[in-house]
Amino acid sequence: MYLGPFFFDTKELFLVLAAILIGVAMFFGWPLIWFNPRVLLTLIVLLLLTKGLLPAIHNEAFFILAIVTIFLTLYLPFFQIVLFYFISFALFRLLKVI
Amino acid sequence: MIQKRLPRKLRLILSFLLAFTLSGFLYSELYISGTSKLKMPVDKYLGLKIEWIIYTAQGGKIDMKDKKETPLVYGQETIENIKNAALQPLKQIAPGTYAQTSGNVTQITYRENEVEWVEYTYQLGGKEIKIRVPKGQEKPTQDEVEEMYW
Repeated sequence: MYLGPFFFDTKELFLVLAAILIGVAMFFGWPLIWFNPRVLLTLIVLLLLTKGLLPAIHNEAFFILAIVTIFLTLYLPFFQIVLFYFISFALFRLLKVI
Repeated sequence: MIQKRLPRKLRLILSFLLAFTLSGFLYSELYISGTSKLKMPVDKYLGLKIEWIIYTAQGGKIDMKDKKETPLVYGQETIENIKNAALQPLKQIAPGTYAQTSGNVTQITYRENEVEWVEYTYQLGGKEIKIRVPKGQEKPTQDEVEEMYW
């Protein structure tokens, strides 16, 4: 789908939708069980930024990384999650996963 | 090279395991807990680590057994001061907080019922949360409360 000059695939649209939903939940104070909406929202911004820089051919690796990272937010402090996310990307390049 | 030796999925899992280990190590070793601030400059940290490795490799290790078995020994003067501190009059240093001092020893007594509390109410994830703060202290911001509870 084209929005102005930019093309969004379904995954990106769902990420944007998730960001909007979390934003709305934060605004109205709807509780999210287990997950911290501020952490999720920040993570979605990071995911969107990196997704924009990554060719669509690497969608599978990106999808698995996103799932693992979101799951880890349940257990690890946010800064460690950010470190994990960026180190994973570096290792993906190093080990030729992407 | 690595592409031929290891299948892609294995490399993916390896990346996750390495990233998990490395992030945990960096988070606990290099950064101040819960922040993105470094404990010390990386070069200084590496220098100290290398010095430590060389020191231990040369046999200069700390004998933890000796350390554990050595009881904490206070000087005679400190022991006397510990005994005397309890006998000193209470000096109020803040509402509900008292100190008794004798030489190099200070004993703090805290009486919760004497502290004047101010109660603040916050909305957090749809729930109402009440926080008590000693009177005169700054009111915690919404962000600070969220940090405490999430």
